[in-house]
Amino acid sequence: MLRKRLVGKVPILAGLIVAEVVVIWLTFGKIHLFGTWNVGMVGLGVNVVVVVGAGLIERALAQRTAATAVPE
Amino acid sequence: MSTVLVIAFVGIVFIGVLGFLGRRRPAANLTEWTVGGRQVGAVTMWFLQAGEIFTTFTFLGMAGLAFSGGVAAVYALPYVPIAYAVLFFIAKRLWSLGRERGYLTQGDYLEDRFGSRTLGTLSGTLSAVLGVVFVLPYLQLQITGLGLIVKLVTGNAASSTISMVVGFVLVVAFVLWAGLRGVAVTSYFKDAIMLVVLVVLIVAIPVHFSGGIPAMFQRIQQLHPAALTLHAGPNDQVWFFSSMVVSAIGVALMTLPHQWAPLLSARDPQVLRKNYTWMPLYGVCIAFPMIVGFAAILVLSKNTSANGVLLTLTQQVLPPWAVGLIVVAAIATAMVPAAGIMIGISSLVARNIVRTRSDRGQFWVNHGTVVVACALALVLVARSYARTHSPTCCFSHIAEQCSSLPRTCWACCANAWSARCRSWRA
Amino acid sequence: MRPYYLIPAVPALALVLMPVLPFLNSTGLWLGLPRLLVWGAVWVALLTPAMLLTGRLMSRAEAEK
Repeated sequence: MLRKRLVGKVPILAGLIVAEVVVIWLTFGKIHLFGTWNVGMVGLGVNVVVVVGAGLIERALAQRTAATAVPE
Repeated sequence: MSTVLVIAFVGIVFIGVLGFLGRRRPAANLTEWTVGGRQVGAVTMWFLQAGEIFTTFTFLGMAGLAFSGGVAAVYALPYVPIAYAVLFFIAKRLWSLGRERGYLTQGDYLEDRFGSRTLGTLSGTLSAVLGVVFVLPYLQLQITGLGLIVKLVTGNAASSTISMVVGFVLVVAFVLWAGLRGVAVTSYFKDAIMLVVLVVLIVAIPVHFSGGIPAMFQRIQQLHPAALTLHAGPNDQVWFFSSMVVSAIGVALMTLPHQWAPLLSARDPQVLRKNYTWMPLYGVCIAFPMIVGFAAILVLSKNTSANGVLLTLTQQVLPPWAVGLIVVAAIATAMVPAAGIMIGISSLVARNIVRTRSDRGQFWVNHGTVVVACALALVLVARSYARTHSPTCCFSHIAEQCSSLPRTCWACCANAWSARCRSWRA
Repeated sequence: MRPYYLIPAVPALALVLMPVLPFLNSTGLWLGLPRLLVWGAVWVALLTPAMLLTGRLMSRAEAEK
């Protein structure tokens, strides 16, 4: 098991929602943008991208907050 | 009334009665009902988890996919065993957390692991809502499957409708009474009859039409060589690879809500590890209906409904009483997994969506959900029936569509594992 | 990570790579069956001894601790 906490809750929820929307769109819209790739796999790819992207933003924001915080 | 129909109805009632035998008195609380008081031993666990491998999709859908797509059907052979190789390592930790923190559902786990009250609750509720919404069609698929089986062998639409209603009223009744233990008892019967039936079919059908399995494949090699390779088309190599991998990830990361009750019900983690070790050997049996599907390539016209090939060949080869037994096995693969799915759906609603404060309230919400979910699934079946005047489904297609939705969703949720993995070190 | 954790990864990898191995995607038969089917069934069955071996080595490591 990994020893470090990689991402927070917000990126995970964002990844979940965005990927789910993409899968629903591809499935019910009968969109064939990805050839014969299983839509679940496409959704999972989108999820990973969103989680990583949101995770990086979250980390950058946390660093900025820590840098600007005035010590009491 | 034909012999096949009589045997089919007797089988439906028998499975219902078996479900009631799972418990002498109705369960007193949700823990007892959902996870059998966390006291389930190795044998029962085996059958509960085997239930996940053999559903209507496996039994009829695999034969259909082999008939329409040839060896592309083999994608379904390895994904559950690969997932078990992952669960072999992580199930112990999940089980321990479940016992320690009182989990009954996937939503409970996510809520607890996310830590934060608001976001934790939100993630639990969101995952539960998505789980219920996207697993409901899977329940509908089982009901449709039952109706289709009866329709295929009797050719009678009225019998098909009656069997769907009777079958699923019985499933609701025994699930309400016995919960997970009812599913376990019916699973014993389902797996026993299905194994016997599959062995009979892979011997009888190839011998009858081609003189044996090797002779059958030699004829396919000469007449339909494309069926032996993955080639361009809807079931190409990309489809095979992506379907296999995403399904394996889905099962390995416990993405389907109804996977949780069997895992959390184990008496101790060794039961689970032993199960995951031996289950792949049992999983090889998925190849049996595929072989029947290959036999159909030689015998049936291309326009034949893929879902019906196994039963169509059975009718051509076996006497009516034997066809009746095969129909009962097929019906069992619809009724028993449906019972497990109902438990997954209802416990999610009661624990992670409605959230009543009292234990008693939670119990009643749970039981009410079983009835509502089944009624809703029956309505969905009736709507599709009204549109097409026949219970229609393509197991391979629908199962893929239905399962890819929750599987993606939960695989996404599985990222939560990394989010909380610090506390996961055993 | 202990190396014995990786034993089940061997059959798992053989299965995941199944669609891209050129010698499997052919009209030839093994034991009278399609090659993909034989390959899949054999490696799925081999997952059991792989997990048994890993389980045994894990227990031994725990006992030594």
